[in-house]
Amino acid sequence: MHMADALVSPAVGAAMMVVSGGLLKYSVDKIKQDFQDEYVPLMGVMGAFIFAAQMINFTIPGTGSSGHIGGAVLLAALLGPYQAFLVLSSVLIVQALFFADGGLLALGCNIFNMAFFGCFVTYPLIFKPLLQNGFSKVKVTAAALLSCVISLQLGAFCVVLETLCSGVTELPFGTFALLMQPIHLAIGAIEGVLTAMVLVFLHSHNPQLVSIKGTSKSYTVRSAVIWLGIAALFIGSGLSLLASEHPDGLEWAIERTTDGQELSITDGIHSILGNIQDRVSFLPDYNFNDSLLGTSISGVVGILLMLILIGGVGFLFKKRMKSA
Amino acid sequence: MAVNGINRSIQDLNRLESHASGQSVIHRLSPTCKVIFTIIYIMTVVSFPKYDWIGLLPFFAYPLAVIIITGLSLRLFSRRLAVVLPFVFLAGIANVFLDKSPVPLIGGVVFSGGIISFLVLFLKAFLSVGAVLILAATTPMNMIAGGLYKLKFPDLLIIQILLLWHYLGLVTEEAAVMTDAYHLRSRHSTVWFKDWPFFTGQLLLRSLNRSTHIHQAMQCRLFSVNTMLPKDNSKISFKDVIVCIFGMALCLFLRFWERYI
Repeated sequence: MHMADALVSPAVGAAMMVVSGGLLKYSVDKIKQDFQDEYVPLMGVMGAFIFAAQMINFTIPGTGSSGHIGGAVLLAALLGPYQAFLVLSSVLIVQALFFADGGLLALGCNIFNMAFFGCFVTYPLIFKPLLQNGFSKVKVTAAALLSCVISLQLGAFCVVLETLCSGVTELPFGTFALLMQPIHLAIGAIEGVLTAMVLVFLHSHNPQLVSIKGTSKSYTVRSAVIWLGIAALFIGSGLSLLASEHPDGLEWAIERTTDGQELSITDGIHSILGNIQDRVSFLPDYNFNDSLLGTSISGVVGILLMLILIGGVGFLFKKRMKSA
Repeated sequence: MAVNGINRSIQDLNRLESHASGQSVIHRLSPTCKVIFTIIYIMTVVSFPKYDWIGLLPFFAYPLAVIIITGLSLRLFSRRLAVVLPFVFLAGIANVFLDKSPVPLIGGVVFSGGIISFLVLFLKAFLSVGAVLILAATTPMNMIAGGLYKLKFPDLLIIQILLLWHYLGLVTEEAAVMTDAYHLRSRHSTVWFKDWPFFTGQLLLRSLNRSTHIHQAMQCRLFSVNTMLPKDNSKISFKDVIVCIFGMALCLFLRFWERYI
């Protein structure tokens, strides 16, 4: 997945350099918080090991071809996410400088595509939680397989985006993605299996090597609420504008059944409830004034109402449990 | 990789490292200036429009001049280029079939735009790989690390790169010996799939044992992180700055001269 310089534009290369540089700085700061001198030779040797391991191609059965691992998930499992990111970045830098494996301008892209997803996305969100309650062959295989497949899929997708943003190839987005994703699905699956087998082997010889590493930061309810709130506001006020205007499944079925005629409300309970709804709904059809602003405001108002309602119910429950 | 693949890579690495300790005028330039110039050179080269192959031609003067001055091996150059060409080929081959716009060449001859952009992609790959190889072949690794340190790269990253560089030879030689032993006992040209985890696991355990010994040796020598940082031996002289600025200005002139003349 190493991108050459010829495949990225200066703007994309520089932008990804800034992103990867920021991640590197963040990793270095995190390592320094809990720094021990023995990390230094360990990380150096692990970098050399991954370098050597990438040189050892394995035969892929039934294909007549060979491949090699990336090593992000393996490194993260052995060293922790920040150390793994630093080690893999150093490997990519040396590969770019001395082996022409990936360009200098494309270094930011390669670090992001090959190290970021494995170390900072799939390791903390998939691998670590699956092994939180103990090590077993089944769990580590599932964790490694999922982590490697997803990290490689995300990395390959980023390669597609970066190449297309650079305007280097005439391949349409869909075709390019269709070429890249399946290949990296296979590579990710194989890397996942091999990573799991290596970890099982190491665990049988030295269980301490594969103990779950990484920060013990626990996410507070407050930070979770803030982030979810931001996401909800973004979706409600922004993405809602992209909602399809076509009828949903039920409305579509009714239109087909009644030949496009709306169902009429008859007398009785339907009429009473319909009148109540007409009076209560102050944002009918998620809009007012039939404008884009109206849609956004409806989204924000809906989110705030849900927050008040659910928050209020939760508060009442909490108060009741405390008094009990 | 074939049986001798790892050994070949180690030999290339050693050749590069021995070439980097030469004494030509290029070798004596400040590493910081060389790193900055290389990045500007590459950015200028890849910024050329997809049909502008003529604009790229003057940029060949740089690698050619350095090869002549430093005596850099063309074989090493071509082996490095061979690594990146397949990927460039795969990325550019679609252009040949999808881009049929007519692009005039010299003398009124018209070519398909896809073929021109394919050619330009190759030229860019050649020049950018060449620039990086020149940097690696004219600057020892510890000097590159010193240059990166002057450019305010994180100190832990520089230490990591230096350690990786130092132990690369050791671990890859061990991997080469293990690979040779494996191939002498098996009929496969690469490590068989089911053997790879145990093979690599053993290499990892040996590497980890080695790191423990290294750390103990470091402790005996009162090791601390700061002692590993590259010392500020290579000062940037006025001459280095002038050469670097001149080189960058020339790159920018060759890139944008059409706008101003």
